[in-house]
Amino acid sequence: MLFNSYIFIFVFLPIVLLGFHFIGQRGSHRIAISWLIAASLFFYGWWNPAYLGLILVSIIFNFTIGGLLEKNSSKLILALGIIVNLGLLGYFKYANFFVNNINVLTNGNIHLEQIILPLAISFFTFQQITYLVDVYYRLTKNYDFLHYCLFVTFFPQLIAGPIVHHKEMLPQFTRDIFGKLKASHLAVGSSIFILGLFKKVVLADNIAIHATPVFEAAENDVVLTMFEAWGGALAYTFQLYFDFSGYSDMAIGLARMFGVVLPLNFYSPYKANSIIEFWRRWHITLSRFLRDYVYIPLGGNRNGHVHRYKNLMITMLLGGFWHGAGWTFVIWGGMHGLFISINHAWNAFTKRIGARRFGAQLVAKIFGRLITFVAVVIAWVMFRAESLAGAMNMYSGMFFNNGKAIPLPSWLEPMLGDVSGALKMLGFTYHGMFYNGVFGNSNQGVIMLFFMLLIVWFSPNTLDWLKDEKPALGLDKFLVKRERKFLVWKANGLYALIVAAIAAVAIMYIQQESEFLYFQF
Amino acid sequence: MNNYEGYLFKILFLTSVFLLIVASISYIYDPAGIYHNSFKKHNSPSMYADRLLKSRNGLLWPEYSWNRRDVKKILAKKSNNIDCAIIGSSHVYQVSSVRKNKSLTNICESITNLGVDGGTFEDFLALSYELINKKQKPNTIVFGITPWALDFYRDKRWGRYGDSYYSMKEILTENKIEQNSKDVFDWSYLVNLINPLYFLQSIEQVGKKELKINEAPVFEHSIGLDTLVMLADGSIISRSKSITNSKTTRIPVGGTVYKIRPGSVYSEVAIALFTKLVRKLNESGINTVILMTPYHHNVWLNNNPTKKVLLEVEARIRKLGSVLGIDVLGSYNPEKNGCSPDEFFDHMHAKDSCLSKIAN
Repeated sequence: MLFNSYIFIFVFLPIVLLGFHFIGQRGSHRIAISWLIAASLFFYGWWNPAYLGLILVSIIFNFTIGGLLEKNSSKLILALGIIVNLGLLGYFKYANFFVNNINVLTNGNIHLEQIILPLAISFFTFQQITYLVDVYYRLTKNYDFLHYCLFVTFFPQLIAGPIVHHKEMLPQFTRDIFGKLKASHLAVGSSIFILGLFKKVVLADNIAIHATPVFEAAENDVVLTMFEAWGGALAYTFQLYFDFSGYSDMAIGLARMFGVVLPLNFYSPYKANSIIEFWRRWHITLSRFLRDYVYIPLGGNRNGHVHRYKNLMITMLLGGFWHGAGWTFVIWGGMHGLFISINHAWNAFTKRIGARRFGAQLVAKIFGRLITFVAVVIAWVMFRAESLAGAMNMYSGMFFNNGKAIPLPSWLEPMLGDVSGALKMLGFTYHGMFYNGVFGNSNQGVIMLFFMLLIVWFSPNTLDWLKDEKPALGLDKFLVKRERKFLVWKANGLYALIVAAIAAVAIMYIQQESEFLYFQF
Repeated sequence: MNNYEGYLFKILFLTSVFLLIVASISYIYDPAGIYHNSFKKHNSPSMYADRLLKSRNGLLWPEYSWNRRDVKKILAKKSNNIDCAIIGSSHVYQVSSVRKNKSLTNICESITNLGVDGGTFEDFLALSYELINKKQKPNTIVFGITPWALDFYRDKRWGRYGDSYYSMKEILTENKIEQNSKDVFDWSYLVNLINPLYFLQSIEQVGKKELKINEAPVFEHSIGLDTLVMLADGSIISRSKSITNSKTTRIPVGGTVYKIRPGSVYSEVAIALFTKLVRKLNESGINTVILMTPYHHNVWLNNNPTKKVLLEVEARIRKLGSVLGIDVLGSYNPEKNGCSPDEFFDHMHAKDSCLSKIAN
């Protein structure tokens, strides 16, 4: 069941909310929790009931290991817990990948049936590893099994994050007030959910029709023009942005309807002025996990620059591998590891020469955003491509026009007069910029890209808009000090009209359910 | 001051009002004639079909007018003394016996074209039912099989003549199909009321004049008219603008995805039912032929997923033809039909000049 489906919005969600309200009104806190767990398991099982057993076994195993660690902080027990979790993830997510690579390396013929990746396994595995590590370090309290179950299965964040931390979730579940619906939570939550839905079904799904055919063509060895390759790369850049941003908003909004505040996971990442800042804004909870449970345990920046870069690279390679069992994801992680290392080196260099005192920060802000954005777009190509060959085909189109003459629109030739001949001698043709026809309606595509760029660079985001309602944990550190009076959400008629209009359009566009991109990770 | 209860109520109320307005406009103007036939009181599909059979140059077919399945069903019933009836999708719209580039002349002197938009497996059964129950049956039925047509539910529009489909299915399976299983409410009709594209098409209808049935003037088929034309045999001449645009539009390598999805290209259950259909028609004295219309050359470049599907389905169709002992004409591969790249409107619709090279 997808958040962006009629059955979820008009059947599942109202029933779960009403049931929660009905039970909570009678003061049955534990029954309300049980109701939410049952609903969450139903939500998970809707996709494939066979994997319900897997998530339940995983919960029981980790809670048992956590209990043992509480009694005895044994490294052996912790290691057992982590190995079993990673083993489960490794089997379902990476077994086919490893077997295929072993076959290639050894010219072998080991056969392994295609293993279907259980939904959300990457997310609930990481969540539970953090729990085990924190129990070992005595950073947890005695949690109740019911509360722990909800921590893992809570449907707004179960499928694609945020990767929540027990410290921020379990205290919310144990409050007496949990289980009682409030109009303020419903108003704030539904508004955030509606904006997220709009981003997904109107923006992400409509720009996808310009991205997908270009990447498919690249996989099929089509000689793409420079404009098609960049158009496809940019279209995917915005598709992923609005898809993930929309999902994150919907998750935050849904949780809020039940009175739960989720951690911030996405905060206008394309506004970042550096790649380091980008990773503080994109998939924030994954970055936090990688920092706290991989980068810092590896040594972080404690042993000099070389070690720092090595640790960064390892962390980002693992981060890439977490996204998918394929070399394209590993290379994508490596590209970001390299970008971040260069960024740190650059910061150290400018600090040493004192460039920061000469107003270079202003220049960095102006060019930093552009350079960061371009670097991210280039890396997304590797992330999206189904094979290395497909990615290389895209890059060849983007940077070298695939070795062909650069095509210009045919209508330009008569307008240029004599200049057109000179341009031809310089290696231009007049076949049309989107010669292969894979970018879809090119005029429409270019206009959409332009407006989407304006939105991601200059418009306030959903959570900024609702900042007075404290919509997400960890939002405060992003908020600008100066007080903005306009475009601040209020529960009044004007905003009800705006949100209702957005809701109506979004509901109209839920004609074909399309999965969120992060569901595959 | 925040009034959260009031705000929630307003959101619910206003969203419902907006959607109700959209649904009402879509329902009232109903551009595809899905919900009612109010405008057809004086211009019924039956009247259109009657005029069409007598027309010299064909009839104009304005956008958002009659439902094509309504008209084709009546054509199936009313066209007599016909050699061949062809059933299929828009891929067979250009198959004709009344235009310069005649089709299938080796087997058909005259043709009734019963092709419909998105025509698929259920259309084969529904229209066959109309043909088998006629007094003057056609000598041959040609099934224009697209790569998606040997599977169930690849399109929903056959529901327009669902009764005919279920009647034929009952005959073939010798099982009575319960009325309640035929009358399952299709939510997609409700959802369609708030479909943004349907809404925009409905808006275009606001203020338009009442439809009339108009004979087409004498015109050049390769150029077309401002309005689409249905010729007397049911074949279709596209709008001149579409014909002109097709000459300059680039066809992407691999084509555009339309109803073809790798992994589930045909259903053996559907093929078994099709086998029964062919045998039933043969028992009734009607010959059957399978026709595959070509896809553009660019669809065959490189190893794209569409090409793989086309190869797989074509191989299965040839095997089916051999088992049934019936002719399989044409190919999805344009080169096997001798068609050139400029003989296509788009990646999957061949022009009459290309189709006339098959069985001629």
